Amino acid sequence: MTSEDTDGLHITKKSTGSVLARQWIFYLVKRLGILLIVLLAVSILTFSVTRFAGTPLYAAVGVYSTDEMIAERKEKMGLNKPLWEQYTSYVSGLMRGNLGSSRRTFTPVRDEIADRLPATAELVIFAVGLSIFWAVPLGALAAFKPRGWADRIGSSLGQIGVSVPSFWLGLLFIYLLYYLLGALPAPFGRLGGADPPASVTGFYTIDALLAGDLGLFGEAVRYLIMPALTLSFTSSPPIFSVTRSAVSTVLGSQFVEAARSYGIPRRAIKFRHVAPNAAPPVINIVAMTFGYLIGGAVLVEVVFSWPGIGTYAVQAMDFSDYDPVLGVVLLSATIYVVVYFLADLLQFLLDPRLRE
Amino acid sequence: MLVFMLVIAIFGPLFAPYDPLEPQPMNTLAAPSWAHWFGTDDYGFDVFSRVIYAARIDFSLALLGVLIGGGIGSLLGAFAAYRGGFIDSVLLRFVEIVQSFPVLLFALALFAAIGGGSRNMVLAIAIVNIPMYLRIIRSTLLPLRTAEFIDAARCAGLSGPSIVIKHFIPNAKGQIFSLFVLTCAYAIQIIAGLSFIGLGVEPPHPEWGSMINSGAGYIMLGVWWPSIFPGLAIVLSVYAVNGLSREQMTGQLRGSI
Repeated sequence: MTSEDTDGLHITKKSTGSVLARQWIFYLVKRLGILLIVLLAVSILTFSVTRFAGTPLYAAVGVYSTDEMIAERKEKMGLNKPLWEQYTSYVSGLMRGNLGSSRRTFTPVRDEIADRLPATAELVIFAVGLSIFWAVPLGALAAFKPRGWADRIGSSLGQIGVSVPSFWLGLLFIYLLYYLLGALPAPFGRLGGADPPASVTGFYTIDALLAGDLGLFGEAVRYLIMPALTLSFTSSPPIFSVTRSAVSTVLGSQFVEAARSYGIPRRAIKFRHVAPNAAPPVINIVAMTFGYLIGGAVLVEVVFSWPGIGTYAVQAMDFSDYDPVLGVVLLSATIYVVVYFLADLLQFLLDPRLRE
Repeated sequence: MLVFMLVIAIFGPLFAPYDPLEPQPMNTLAAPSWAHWFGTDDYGFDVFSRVIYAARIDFSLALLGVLIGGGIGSLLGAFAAYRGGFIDSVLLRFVEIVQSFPVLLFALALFAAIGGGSRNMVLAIAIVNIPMYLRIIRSTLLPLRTAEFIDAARCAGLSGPSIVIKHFIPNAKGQIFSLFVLTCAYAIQIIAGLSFIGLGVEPPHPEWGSMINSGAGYIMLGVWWPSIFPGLAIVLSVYAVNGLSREQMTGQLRGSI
């Protein structure tokens, strides 16, 4: 947003820079407003779930309780206040990071989630990295040569990827890669029974490297491969198709035609002209996939006994322990909305055309 | 292939060699053989018969959920396109809110409030579908707001709701149909996923997801048939349903040329 790059486009308008800046701020405020509204609605939703799921009251006093005990508890928990007051105190609790506590372990949900989030994040980052590694180049190749081998492989993998349930694919991998080939370890979480590395980041791969233990790093990677492969396979079809359509749109545009007619070498066209112009939508879809998978990896986590937030929510659900479930729902919805917002913002920053 | 799957769902019980709810406790985890094509599971249920019976349950739940959600979503989408303004933006915010939850976690929160089971699963699928239809039908029909024939209908004295139903919805028929196909495929996966984590159809009722779950613990021991066969049924049905949408799309293209 310097004045130089706008001046090049609008020589006649003098105050273009400040107008653009104002538009930009307007856009930012509008998007932030929407973000807040969505988060508010999410909190209303989870709040109403806590009231529906049998008020927290009976869980606290137990089944054998007198009317006085209940009345006293109600007073103490603020349940006889009007509903909106209960809601505001709920939200102010959320703001302070109070997600309630588990009925089973009596530990604050916030701490339990903080323990498990790195496991999910490590898995998802690994999976998305894997997807970028194969889906983006394949998508670009498919666009360069429609109906060529890359296009065929990519589209058929995509069609299978959207038809296959992730949890079943995970089991299939376990059967093939663990039972038949013995190439990868059994699906018992992040390291099986081995001791995890000293926790710095919570990511076992990075922590193992920091501790200088290459063997442990290798083990952590080996445990990551199957679940990450499963997630990558079922979540990458959109990345492939978005890359393909973005690149082919750019390839069909006039400036690429112009570059070609100037006799600029193909390689240079691909990397200097096509790649940067096709990048924004691809970055966008990758970010969205990442945001979605934080909460969307539940089934794969369960299959591989991966100790992330998804497994945590499902286990809590088995015990009708609802605060952890809602904590995970709130967190993953928030992450998704924030990532969505950031992805939009990034798109806006990367693509000067959108600013007009 | 889709016809084949539907025939199985409708007439399946005629083919099924065993009662899907009658275990043979002496014959558990038997490998596939002539007597049991897909083997037996840990209770001695015949996997082949259960896969066939489950087709009915999975298809009917998916269809019901999508019909309810798609119906409501299409109407709301058409209405939003027709009215515009405040209602339109409120509905769009609603779409964003529901879609900001990963589907499974949304269902978890819902089930925490009202309990699991088949009926609530249909409800969850309906709710998840509403925003998809709302958004796409709205954007398809948006250009119609200023179309002349809508003006004409208004001048002829038709009320808002009847314009929406008689003149807006028919213009989105193609979109609604291809969405219907896609969302049915998606719904089958959601049902299987929820049942896999034990929240959907209660065992011992035959359902693909819960069957996969009951076999999951044995797969490390090399017992693959209780999980792999029901999963294949899901893959085939979803692939077949998606195939319908591919055909339908190319058909549309052909029609437009």
